[in-house]
Parts: sequence; structure tokens; C-alpha cells
Amino acid sequence: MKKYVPDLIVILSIVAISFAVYFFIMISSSPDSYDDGLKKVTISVNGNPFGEYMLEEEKNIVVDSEFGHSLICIHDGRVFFKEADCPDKLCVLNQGIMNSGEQIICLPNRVVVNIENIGGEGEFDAIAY
Amino acid sequence: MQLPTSKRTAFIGVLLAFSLILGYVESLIPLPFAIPGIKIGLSNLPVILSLYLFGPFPAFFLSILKAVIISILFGNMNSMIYSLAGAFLSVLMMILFSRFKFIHIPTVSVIGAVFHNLGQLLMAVFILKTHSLWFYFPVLALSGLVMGALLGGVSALIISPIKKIIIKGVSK
Repeated sequence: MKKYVPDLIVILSIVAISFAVYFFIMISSSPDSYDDGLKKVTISVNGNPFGEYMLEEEKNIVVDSEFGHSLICIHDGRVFFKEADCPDKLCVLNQGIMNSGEQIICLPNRVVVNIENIGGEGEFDAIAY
Repeated sequence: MQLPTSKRTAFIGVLLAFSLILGYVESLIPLPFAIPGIKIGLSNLPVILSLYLFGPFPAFFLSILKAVIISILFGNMNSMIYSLAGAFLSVLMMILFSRFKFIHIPTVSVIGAVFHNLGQLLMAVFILKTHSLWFYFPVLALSGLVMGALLGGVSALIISPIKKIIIKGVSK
């Protein structure tokens, strides 16, 4: 049994790092925004900014690139993929986002749809009373 | 293992064919979350076998070639870059860890699985320039751990019998 100690160390390190990443993500992800300020929708294609729109608008946005075609709708305070020509359609299945910090990503088409607060980060990292 | 080059090449070819079939089986199983090319890791079995039977270079060759061919045959071309990134990192780390005799085959397999997922995730983060994808990592790491352990267990069990079969077959 003692000869399996190095293996155990490796396995446990992987588990530990997974949990560490998980907690890190939990802590650094912004909560539902505390402010009711304006939110903007940013769309990027292949890492490059594609466009910015207000969440309050009603808009249909066609995103066409060499990676594919997608149709993104902003309607009723939600953003969602109406259609996309990617094979997995996970982006379309996503019901839509409405809070800042949330994202929908279509990996095959390399489209990232983001919601941000106007004026950068409006959330607090922590509140102590 | 002492083998004539032609026999060696033939066996590695068989392992490659085997990994393509396993790749097909993998492609039949869709995964709910979303990084294209994320697989359950069956097709790593021949890579592990070739690493321990024939050495690091055949394993590397097998891993890269398998990623390319499987992406062409069963995936889409878009997923190839992610698969390649994953396969590259995975096989490199497997070769590294297999150098240490005190780290056994199942663990090396786990390393391979986890780093395959990590490589794909890193490539996706790099291409999309967003770090939000990291929230997939814990799930990917843990599932890689489980699948890698299972696959590694199987590999460990069959590696000696396969060695015997290969050698016996050659010495006819």
C-alpha cells in the first residue's frame, strides 16, 4: 500500500485544485447586481469586440463571421440566441441571460455574449456590517 | 521491447486504428457541457498502451494523429484546434509522469485525461479571450479523474498480457 503514496498525492492534488478553482470562481463571480443601473450587452466574436447594446432595447442582432451565423435577440430585458448554425446548439438551448456577469457562449461560432453594468463593476466584493 | 521495426510499425498502426474506432464510439455520446471536443476519454487507451509498450515517441505521434483524424472524421474542423491542444498537453504530461516508476499506470492515465481537458479549456480561453470558461474546470477535472482512473485500471491489467502476446506472436 505504501508504494501507492505518490499516486495518491497526485490524485488528491487534482481534487484539491478542482475545489480551489471552484471556490475561487464562486467568490469572484459577481452576484446579481446590487444596483439597478443600466446594463449593456457586449458581443464579441473570436475575442474581438463586435458590438454593444443596451439591455433595455429590443433588438435582433445578426452575427455573421467566418465561423458561422448566429442570431441574437435582446427582448424584454433578456438576451438569448434565437438561432445559430453550430452543431451542438447549446447556445440556443440556453434560455437567456438578464443579469450582469452572466454570459452565453457559442464556442463553434466563437461568439461571447456578455452583460455588464454601465460604468464598470458596480458590485461590492464583500459587505461587512 | 525488442521488436523489428516493421512489426513495431504495424502494431502502432493497429493501435491507431483502434483509437479511431474508440473515437467513433466516443462521438456517439454527446456531453451536456459545452467545450467542443470534450470526450469521455476512451480513445486514450491506445495512447497509454503505446506509451508503455513502445515508448514516448509513438505515443506522441499516436496522440496527435488521433486528434487530427478523429476531428476530421467524426468531429467538425472547428473542434480540431481544441482537440489538438488537449491531446498535445495530455500526451506531454503523460510522457513526463510515466518517467517516474513510482507513479503507476492508472495515475498516468488520470493525468492524461485531466490535462487533455485542461488543454482544451486553455485553448478555448485563449481564443475567446474570456476567463468565464474556468467554471467548467472542476467538473472536467473530476470527470477526467474518474474516467482516467477507469481507463488506467484497464490498461494496467492488460499491459502485461499484451506484451506477452506481441512478443510471442513475433517469435513464431
